[in-house]
Amino acid sequence: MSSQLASPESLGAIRDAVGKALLRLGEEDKDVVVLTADVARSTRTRWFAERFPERFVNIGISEQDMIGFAAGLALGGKKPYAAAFAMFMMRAWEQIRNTVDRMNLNVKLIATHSGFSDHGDGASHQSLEDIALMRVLHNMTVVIPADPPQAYKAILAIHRVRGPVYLRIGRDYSPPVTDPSAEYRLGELELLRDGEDVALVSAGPVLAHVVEAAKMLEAKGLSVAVANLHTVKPIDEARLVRLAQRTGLVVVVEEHFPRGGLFGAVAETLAQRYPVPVVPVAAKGYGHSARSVMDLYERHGLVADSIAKRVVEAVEKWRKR
Amino acid sequence: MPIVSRLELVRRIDSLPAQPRAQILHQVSLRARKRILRMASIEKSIHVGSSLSSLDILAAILIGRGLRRTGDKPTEKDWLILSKGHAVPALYALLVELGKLTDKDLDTIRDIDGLEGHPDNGLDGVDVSTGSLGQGLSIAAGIAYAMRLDHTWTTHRVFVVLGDGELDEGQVWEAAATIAHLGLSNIVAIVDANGFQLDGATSEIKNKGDLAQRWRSLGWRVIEIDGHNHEMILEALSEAEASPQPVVIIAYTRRGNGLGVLEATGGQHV
Repeated sequence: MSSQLASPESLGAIRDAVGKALLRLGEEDKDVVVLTADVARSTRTRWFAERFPERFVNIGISEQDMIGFAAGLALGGKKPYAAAFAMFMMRAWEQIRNTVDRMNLNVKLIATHSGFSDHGDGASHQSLEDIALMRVLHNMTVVIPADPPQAYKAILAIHRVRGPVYLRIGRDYSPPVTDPSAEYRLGELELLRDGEDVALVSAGPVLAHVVEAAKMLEAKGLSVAVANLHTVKPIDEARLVRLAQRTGLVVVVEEHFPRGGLFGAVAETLAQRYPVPVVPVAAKGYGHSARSVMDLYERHGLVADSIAKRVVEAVEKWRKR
Repeated sequence: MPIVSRLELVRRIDSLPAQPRAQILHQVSLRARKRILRMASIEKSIHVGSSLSSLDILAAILIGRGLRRTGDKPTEKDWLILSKGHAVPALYALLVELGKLTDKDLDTIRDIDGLEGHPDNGLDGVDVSTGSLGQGLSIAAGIAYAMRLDHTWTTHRVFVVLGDGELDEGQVWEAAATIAHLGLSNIVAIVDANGFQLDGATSEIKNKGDLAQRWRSLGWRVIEIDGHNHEMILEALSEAEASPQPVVIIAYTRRGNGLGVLEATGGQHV
């Protein structure tokens, strides 16, 4: 895998990495067709459009039509990638459910600008529900790469999945957290740090703050594991259970509402397989316009020191018993 | 004209001129109507009125014109999408004519182990799963575009049957604009305009405006016909196939056609 990434730094932000990975797929597989809904520049699918104009269709501002079109391409033997803002992909949820997922079609959904990443545009553009909506679908695979190199590799990996995949990325903010030379293993919980007192599970760019929080906690004498749940569905039950067994307490940190997203996925799994306390650290409500994504992270308690504080509270609450 | 066996009919009909083809379709649709009524007597919840209004259109496409295949790839065949999926009993009744279902299979309509209440592409003869209105035309556009990429789009067609009530769904118009914009002339849309939707007459629930003009304004060619006249339907289909632009056939029909009690009220269920 490392040979695919001569210089991970050159990938740019996470949406740039996805745009570059799609270009590569376009070269390697003539059946790849890319669609977008009037956001070719923002989603970086414009690069594909310039290189492969005949295999690119800008559907206009009509996400529902885009999903149906993608379904038709898949029925016609093509491998469509449909890119839109995560928020507006949700507009086509029923089309995704009834047409794409129900027929188990080979349609890849590239959802950009997720979470708080589209900070300037405000609450109307900040998706805090999409993980929940996509992971309830029967056939859907849900992937949230952590950083640009992982996003690049994840695109190549989901191309090998025959069936619908939802890939969730942010806009620009995407600090490095994974080892760029590591092989990407779709479906496997990735342990970024090992620890014994508490496990922090997260995904996407907020992971950088989770890792930072773990370091702060370690300085205070807590042994903290950090796991990257980049594949939310199908969930890696075995590794999650092992993590729960080892630590006995799990804190889930996500750029999403604390219902149905990562917290839901982890809690549902552990409730059945190995019940331990699971605590959410998530968006407190709708977002707001902000000059920086960091302002939103701070407001919603998703920066390292707030996360560390919540972890200490959880440890105090549950370790006393 | 003498009654011909069903499979023999399907083999022969392709080469016949329009008029005898229409006569065969008349026999076919009589048999199919009886099957729909039988299904309705077994399972009251099926959409009889809509099935009867769509039947002649579907018969003309499936049997009068026939769906052709030139290779194994999905882009090397004609497709039929029943976007108004609730009319699926009409499709099932015709699949018996094509030997893909038996009369006995029809008795299992909406049974737990039987035929699905809306089209499911797990069944041979159903190309695309539908049921949620408004989505068929978008799917057709994707298939038609795949045909263009595979250079089969002058050989093969995607037929989409919609209802006039279904035109309330905004996605239909999103797709109509996409198809016209991309010039996907291998799509033939047929609107089964029976004047009714679930809760009543289309004019009462939501006015559809000047239907022909709505399509035309986006760049579609519009052909208006009597949707129960087999000859007219076949003629319109041939005309649509020869057209260099996408064509919508607005087929004026009667809900419950052939069943007096239903036809009079525009009802859906018996």
